[in-house]
Amino acid sequence: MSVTSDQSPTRQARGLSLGGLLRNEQIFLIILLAVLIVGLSLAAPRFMTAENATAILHQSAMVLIVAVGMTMLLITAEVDISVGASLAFASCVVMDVINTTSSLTLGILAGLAFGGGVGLFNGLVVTRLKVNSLIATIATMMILQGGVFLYTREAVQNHHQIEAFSLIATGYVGPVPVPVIIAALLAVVFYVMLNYTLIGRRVFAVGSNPKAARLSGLSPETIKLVAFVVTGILVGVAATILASLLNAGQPTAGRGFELIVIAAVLLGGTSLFGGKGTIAGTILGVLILKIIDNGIIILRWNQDLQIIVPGVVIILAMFLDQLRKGRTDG
Amino acid sequence: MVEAVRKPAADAAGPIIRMAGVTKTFPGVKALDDVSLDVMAGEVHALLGENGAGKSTLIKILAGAYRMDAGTIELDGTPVSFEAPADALAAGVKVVFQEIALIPEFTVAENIFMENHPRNPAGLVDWRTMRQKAQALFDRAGFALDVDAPVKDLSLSEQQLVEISRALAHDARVVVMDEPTSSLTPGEVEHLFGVIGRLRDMGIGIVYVSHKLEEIFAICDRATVLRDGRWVSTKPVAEHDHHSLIVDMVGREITDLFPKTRHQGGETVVSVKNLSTRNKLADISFDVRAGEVLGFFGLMGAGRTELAKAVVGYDPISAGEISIGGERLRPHNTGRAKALGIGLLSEDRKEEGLMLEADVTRNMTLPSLARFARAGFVDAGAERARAQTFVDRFRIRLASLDQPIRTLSGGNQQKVLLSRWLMYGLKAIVVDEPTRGIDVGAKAEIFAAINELAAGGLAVIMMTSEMPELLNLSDRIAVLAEGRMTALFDRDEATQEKVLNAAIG
Repeated sequence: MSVTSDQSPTRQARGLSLGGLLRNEQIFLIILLAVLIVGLSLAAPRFMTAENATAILHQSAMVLIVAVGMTMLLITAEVDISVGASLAFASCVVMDVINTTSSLTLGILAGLAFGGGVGLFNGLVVTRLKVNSLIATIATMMILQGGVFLYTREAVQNHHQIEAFSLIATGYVGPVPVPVIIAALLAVVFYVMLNYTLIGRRVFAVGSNPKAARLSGLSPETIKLVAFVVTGILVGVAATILASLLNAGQPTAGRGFELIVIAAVLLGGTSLFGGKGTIAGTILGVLILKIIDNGIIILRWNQDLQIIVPGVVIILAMFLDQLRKGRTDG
Repeated sequence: MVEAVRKPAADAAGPIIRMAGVTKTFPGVKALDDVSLDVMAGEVHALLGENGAGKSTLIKILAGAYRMDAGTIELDGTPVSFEAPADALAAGVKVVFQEIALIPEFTVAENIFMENHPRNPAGLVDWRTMRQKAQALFDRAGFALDVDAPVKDLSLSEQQLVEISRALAHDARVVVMDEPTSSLTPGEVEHLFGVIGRLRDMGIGIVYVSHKLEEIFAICDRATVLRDGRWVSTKPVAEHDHHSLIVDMVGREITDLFPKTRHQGGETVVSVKNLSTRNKLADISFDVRAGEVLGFFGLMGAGRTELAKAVVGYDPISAGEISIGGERLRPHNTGRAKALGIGLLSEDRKEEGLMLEADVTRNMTLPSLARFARAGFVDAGAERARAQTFVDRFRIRLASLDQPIRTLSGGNQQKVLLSRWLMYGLKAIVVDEPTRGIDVGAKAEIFAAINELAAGGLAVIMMTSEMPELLNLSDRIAVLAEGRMTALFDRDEATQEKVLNAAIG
């Protein structure tokens, strides 16, 4: 927050030396990614195999799908903490609706509608009731975490035996897993949307100066509401993949999912304070976190490090970002 | 303790503080030029001048917040140097600024002893002593305040008393009050005058900064008038009357920054009838014609910005109606206002105008973006080309259209924001303090641009607190005081004196 405004001369000097290299934070992320890949390849030959690379992409897909929406939401200067809880609930809904209707389409639509509905609820609470989005969506998370147990005590098992359903998560098109294709398509759509369309430009305008946007005739509330709903629908997409992957609707799934998503987006250089962010950065952020995850497993390190290391990486990345800014602000 | 160190005033007849030859230059502006001010013990000394006359700069130098370029400050005849606010405070000079700087969550007593909490032998805050000392202060000055009340529960006038108590806790000998009545009710003003009287009886010298002439005649002993950063006069208030004070304040010929142009008013574009808002404005009506500049003058807190924001649909209104080009602004929002063809150039560029991190092009095209879109996709080439035409037209100095706007000077930023609305193409524009924070050279260019807008058939509503700007640019002049319109002049009948009289209300 105020850290950048108060740069001591020594910090600035260090920012200068590092800054040349790190001026473009995407370059910094690419370097970090390269270092991880080279390091892990040397440490564990198994890392650099086609199967492992596919596995990493597969694991990244669900996070990336929600992260592209979260990127847009953060650019409007809002955040959604309820995506993990919504993911679990929606996966139960998807499975339940397919079980009762025997229709894959209806199940998927129900998942999307549930996610979108949660987004709409969050968006209305934030834009109409003027509740801070961090608080509002933590509250929604609690409501959903409790609510899903009212809905179902246990995992919703697969009773429908629809072949195509399991292919959503486990199918391949050529060598590429289906979820990776879905994630890649969404990333492209959001990249184009944010950079080249009217909607994308308005998203940035609302985040960088909501008062100026309003004076220019835009409605920041409407744009933020849309961003919440879209993020929610993407949670529905991820929930369908999750249900297919687990072959069940699992009410306890998705714990901590929101943290991984938000961490990846922030690592990718999107600002919590709005007006700044890129899909390319978010992709890099997701890949870095998931490769670290993978590396810890392959190296047979203590599994608890899977949570600890990303935490450390985020602090480091934010610190380096401050150094970088010290150069431009100084 | 502080009391033990301080000497009694060496010579009761001499001034406590004497400032002489004070000069201060900011980039592009000479804010103060050879200004003098002396404050005697037990006097209330008025410091007067128009906006921009240098009052604020002078008291900030006295408070140690600014360093002067030349001049001297003497305390009891001994030269002193105030390098920082702490030095001024240690010398017994305390300024009560308009924006009160208290910590809302802390109690009254805590706020009073913010810099020097009494400690007990263990080094912890001695709450009991602190409360007792605060209470003793209140008894001495006759304040009815609860030492344990959190400051956030206090009214503005009570918070002022806390600020004054802080001055007393520092054993202040000179208290400067910067427009202390600007947000007080008449009853609270009465009370404050009582407090000032008691401070005077305690031998404290008071510098009283205000626009309101009745207040000067009610409580001040002497008055120093500044104009354009220069000292004009220091006289006992008894030797002044209303007229002579105003003449001292504005008694110069306003030099034309550019030749006056008279605009032929076309048909009525903006029509405001009986407009009121919940917080400030009451029953305001006016019309503005195409090609005309209607200037609104008002002192601080008169409601200029509130009016500007209400007219463009940004702030809600509680009564009345606004029509643009014959159509009502309903629903009352900025989207409808823009569609009808009215927009605001805000007084606060950073807060309400600029997207600081975004580039020049994106800042300029914000309201017009839909024009550059085909099937939802923005044609960036057309957008840049259009932006470039405005950069050329207003000679906006920049290295590249892709430059972040925060790297431009204030004047160039203002031209980009003006271009923002020109590109969109309005029927009427509201400009609020269009030259605030802009250096002298760029000011003339902004004036020229506003003139050009009117010449091009736009209805221009200009909010300003700068007299020269008002008289040079306006075809008609409306005056606001305390949220009401108190006068409407044609350019020919308006004089500085008439306008100021109406503004004082």
